[in-house]
Amino acid sequence: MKNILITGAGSSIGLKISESLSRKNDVRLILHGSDSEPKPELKAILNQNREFQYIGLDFSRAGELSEVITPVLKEYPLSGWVNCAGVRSRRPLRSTSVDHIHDVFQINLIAFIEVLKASMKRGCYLSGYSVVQISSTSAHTGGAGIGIYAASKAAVDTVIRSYAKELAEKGVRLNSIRCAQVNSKELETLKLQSDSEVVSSRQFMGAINPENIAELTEFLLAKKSGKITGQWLDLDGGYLM
Amino acid sequence: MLELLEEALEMDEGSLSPEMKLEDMAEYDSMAKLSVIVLMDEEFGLKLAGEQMREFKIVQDIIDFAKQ
Repeated sequence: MKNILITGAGSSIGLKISESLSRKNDVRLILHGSDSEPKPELKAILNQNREFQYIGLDFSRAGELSEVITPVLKEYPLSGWVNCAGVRSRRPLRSTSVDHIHDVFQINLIAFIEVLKASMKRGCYLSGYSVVQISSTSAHTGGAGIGIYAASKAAVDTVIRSYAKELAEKGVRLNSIRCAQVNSKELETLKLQSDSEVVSSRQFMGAINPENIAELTEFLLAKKSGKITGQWLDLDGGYLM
Repeated sequence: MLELLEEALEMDEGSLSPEMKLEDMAEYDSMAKLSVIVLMDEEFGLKLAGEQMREFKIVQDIIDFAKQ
């Protein structure tokens, strides 16, 4: 049985990845969400499946993550971790504050490092452990109104490359999927007219669907991608061509 | 409220009035709209979606949203 941790499992992307992996008979899911109980959508997907573990913890409390997660990982050592947790705030320079910068980096970078550190403790991971971070093409391109968000994604991608080198000798792989504009309910609430224009003019293959991300995630978790590590894979519909 | 909006829209103090049409204001661009979303969230604890924002016609509409 492979134990796969999905953090941010209640997001649109996290839900789709959870749903996709829940169909596999050899996978036990350990799901994380910021609420104390799993969201109804998440329960609905998983009720039809077998037992799963749920960790409810706010990623903004990054300093407490290790204490909560480590005992679970000791019981269910990881074969894979998919990090979908993150804050997708949009705010222009004029509205940026020190608190905002801190909040975004706390969730998007510091929490990632804390969970990775916890998962690398003795007995918390298995041979072939693969980490997949859901990132954004904005880490490469930046974007008006998303300076801090893009910086946080670039930061987490950069630590992934460093830790991929550091942890390669343990057979641990870390990769990032850099998604362009994704059809998700989170994006819908933030969407401006200019977003649709970007998709129609530059994202030649259209917006990315959570299914597309789930498929690439499964590949990166599997043995068949065993020689891929430290990579930022652009899932961008042609946006960066 | 007008003062907060002037700050969000990077307009001079006293230059904004409730009846002003948003589409006629050069300052009301996409970044200004994002600033209004942040303003509603931080100052009033209100979530303002892009769709709702597109329904605003005059400055008073923004003020009314903040007062709900």
